[in-house]
Amino acid sequence: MSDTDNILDIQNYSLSYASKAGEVRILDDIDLHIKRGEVLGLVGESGSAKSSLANAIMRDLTGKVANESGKILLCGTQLVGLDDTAMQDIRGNRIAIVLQNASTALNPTMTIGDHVIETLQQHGRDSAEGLKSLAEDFLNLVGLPDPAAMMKRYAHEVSGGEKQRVVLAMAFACEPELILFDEPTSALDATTAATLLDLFIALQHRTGVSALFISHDLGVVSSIANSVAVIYGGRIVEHAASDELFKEPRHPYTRSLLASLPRPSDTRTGRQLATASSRAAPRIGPVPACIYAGSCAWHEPSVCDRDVVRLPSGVDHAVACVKSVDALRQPQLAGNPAARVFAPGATTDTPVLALQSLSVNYGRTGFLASLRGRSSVVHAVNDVSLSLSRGETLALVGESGCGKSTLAKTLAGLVSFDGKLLRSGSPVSAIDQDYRARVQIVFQNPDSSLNPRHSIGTILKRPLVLYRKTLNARERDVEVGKLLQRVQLPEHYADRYPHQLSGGEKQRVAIARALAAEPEVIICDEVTSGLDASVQASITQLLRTIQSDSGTALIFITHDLAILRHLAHRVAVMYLGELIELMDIHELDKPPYHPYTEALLSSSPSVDPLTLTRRIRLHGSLPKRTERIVGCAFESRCPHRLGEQCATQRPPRQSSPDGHEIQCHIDMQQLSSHTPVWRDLETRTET
Amino acid sequence: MSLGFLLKRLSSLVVTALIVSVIVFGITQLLPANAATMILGEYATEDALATLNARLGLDQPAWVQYWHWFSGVLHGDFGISLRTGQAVGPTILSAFGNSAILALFALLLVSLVSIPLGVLAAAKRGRPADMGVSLLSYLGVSLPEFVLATLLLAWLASPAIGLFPASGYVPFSEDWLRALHHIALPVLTLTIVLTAHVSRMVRSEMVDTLESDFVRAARLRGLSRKRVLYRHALPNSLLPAITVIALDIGYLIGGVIVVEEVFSFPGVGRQLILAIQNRDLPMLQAGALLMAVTYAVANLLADLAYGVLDKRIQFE
Repeated sequence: MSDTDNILDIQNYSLSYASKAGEVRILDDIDLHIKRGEVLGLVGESGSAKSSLANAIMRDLTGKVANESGKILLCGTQLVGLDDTAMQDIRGNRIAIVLQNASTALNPTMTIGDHVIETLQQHGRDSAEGLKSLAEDFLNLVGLPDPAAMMKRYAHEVSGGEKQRVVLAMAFACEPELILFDEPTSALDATTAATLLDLFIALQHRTGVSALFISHDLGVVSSIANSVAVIYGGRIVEHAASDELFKEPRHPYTRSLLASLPRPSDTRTGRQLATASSRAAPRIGPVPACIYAGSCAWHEPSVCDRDVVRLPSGVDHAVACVKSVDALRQPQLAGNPAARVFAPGATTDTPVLALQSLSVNYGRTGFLASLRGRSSVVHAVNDVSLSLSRGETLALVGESGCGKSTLAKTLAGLVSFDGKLLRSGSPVSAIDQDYRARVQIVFQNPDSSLNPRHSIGTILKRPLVLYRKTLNARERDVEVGKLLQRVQLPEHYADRYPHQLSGGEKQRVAIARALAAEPEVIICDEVTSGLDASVQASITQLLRTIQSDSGTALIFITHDLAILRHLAHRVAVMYLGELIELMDIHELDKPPYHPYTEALLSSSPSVDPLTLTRRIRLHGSLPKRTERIVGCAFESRCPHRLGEQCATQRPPRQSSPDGHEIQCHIDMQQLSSHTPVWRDLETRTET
Repeated sequence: MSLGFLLKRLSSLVVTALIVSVIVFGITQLLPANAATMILGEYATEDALATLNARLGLDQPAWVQYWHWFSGVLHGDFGISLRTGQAVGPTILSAFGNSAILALFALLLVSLVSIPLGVLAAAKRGRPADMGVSLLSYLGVSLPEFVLATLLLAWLASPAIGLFPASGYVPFSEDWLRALHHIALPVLTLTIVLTAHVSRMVRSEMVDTLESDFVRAARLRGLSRKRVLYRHALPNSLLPAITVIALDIGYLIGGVIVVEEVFSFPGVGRQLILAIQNRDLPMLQAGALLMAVTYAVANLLADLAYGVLDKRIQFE
């Protein structure tokens, strides 16, 4: 293959940073190329240095470079060694980058138009109609409605998805040869991310630009990339065509990654998630022969540690492993459909927690505003009725701003509410100590929910002192040990501090703290978001174990629908503060769905060789949160909108005999006849 | 920015002024001596005191006295100075005008000097220019203004050098060049102390902004260093600096008092010191009220400026 075919050619590129502990290897002998028009996906878990590669290409190194060697060639031009001034002509002009967080990627003091114009201007672009009209063209290209009006807006005046479109417009503005996408959809809602992903694909096809698409989400990568490289500990461990790699992963690391990803077909096949997570790769000290040796189940020192294991070049499916594929027969995880069927708590029991017409409003209308008929009250949760049985897991799903976290905080007694709340059948008049002991909450981010100055032991003793007053000091110590055991952490962790633990371990401590009070209900607010797939799988597994041991009811709040099949008994879908659907987990795989649920399920990309996901994309904008919605909240974006009645009348709550509830004007029968979101590709189950 | 917000802030300003007026009046009431003892001196007879108290209304309850004083203030009548026997209003207002000139010049100079210095330090972070600015800042912050003022006085106004007059004041209406010459040293003192503070603030804000995502995104779009620095980082760093400058006005008021005393500058600070030394209560009350209101107004202005500059803030 000649060099000219390759837009980007990375040859034996290594990078290390200097630190107090010694030299830290960041990227290790990277060999990658991207052909004209090719989209290369780069996947890896947190800490795999996937973003560092993008930074290296952009010559925007974040650390103090100790050693850098090898080549990064853009159409034959060596980028390594170029200084900032030389890179100015390349950045944004020949290589553009789309960063993860669109919400902070725009200057708050500049209009969107100025952003696009300055980029064009910097790189000497112009058109006969002038820069302004050229900029409008690009805003139009990325599907922003009314570009002329958009030009005059500021970042805070547009939505997250629109911001990412603006960033995309700037990336395409100078017709670069290469675009680097660094987790471009990770911070967006599923339905927004799906439309943006479609837009990337369409624009890429139209312009034929080459791209490096970096993500931790294998589903997203599989839907956009032609070929995929898997990075672990700064080394590429596997590189193949996208279909090939996802169908037949070879490297043990890739396999473990895929094995811990939930699939839509899991209910059907009874597939279990692998929970063995990979350890952090060694970065300091002697160079290991195989970077994955520390976590590999097939590691044999006599075979694997003889020489540094490199990615072979010149093969279509390159694997950095000395063992042959046959030697690596995956020990199959028992696929037992029967094991998947939960026994939900007997519904005749008094629900452990029940809410009736619960509403939460934020903010208040000021005196002057009320005079002018303006309201700034946000209806965060609106008229929600739910019940939770003993030993049941209720999943609460929806996108950002749908009120799911507010509902969680309300149930935890952190937010005041209107409506009725019943615990074991008796109304809760005030959130007291007793209520708090019975209903515990685990927050999303253990970094901020665990006090960094307290040891794990101290953290776990607090609820024991508060809620279990009969225990004496000795018994408390014993209990801390038991709690750690229950969340599968070694007992000596009691002496450690949060910063000495990994993200998954910290979350386990947070769960143990909730368990300490011996609660009847644990509310898990996005507890697995932000964790790597394998850690997510093991936390899910842990929650299931805890539930079956203690009969605790769980409210599991998430925006990630894929994991539900492995955890939930029932699913409640929220949209703009309203509960629009409530169903049994078994009903997740087939219609009827609320039109929003249908779109949400369709938007979550998955790597599943057994299933094809139907594409439904949402358009239109959300109403303002301070508006009082008369009709259906989803009316402005609904693909199945019936007509005027959707905007003017509140949709009825329809329910089927088996307890499936949908709040929609469309008849449930009618909804049942919709094409399923997932279509089975093969009928036979995997063995 | 809405009219509602403006009204709200203005009304809170009025409330602040009212509270301050009560406190100022209350404190002068707590002093052991009143106006009558001041006028008649230590050896006054009880009878004489009582007569004078009755004449001045000092025998009435405190709230009645307060009302007399405050309604007078609303009419622009601050009372009669016990020291000079002249109306307090015109005296304090003309002194206030002189001080305002001093403060405004200092603020202008501070803005002109400290912002570029802060930007320079942040842009050259960790390099000699940054350390130089930091060193000067520390020096400026740690030198009390009376020490600095005395140093400047002893050096630049010394007979040997004689660059600037050591004291006094010439009105701008009379001869603006000589006026500038006279205010140069006091302004310089205030500027140096404030510059140290503000430039450190601008530097730290700039350093934060330079590390933000949108600045990185701008850099990675290939924008020139200058543009990234001045168009992206600076406007976003100036907002917090405005708050600091507004808070520094409080400091400036205190600084003005000291500096005016050192340079014998006829401003409101010097009037206040004279008033305290002579127990000139009406003058003291007027001066303190004026300063408090100035401070509140400065903060209001800073809030308004923030609202105009930061597009994200919506005043409801």
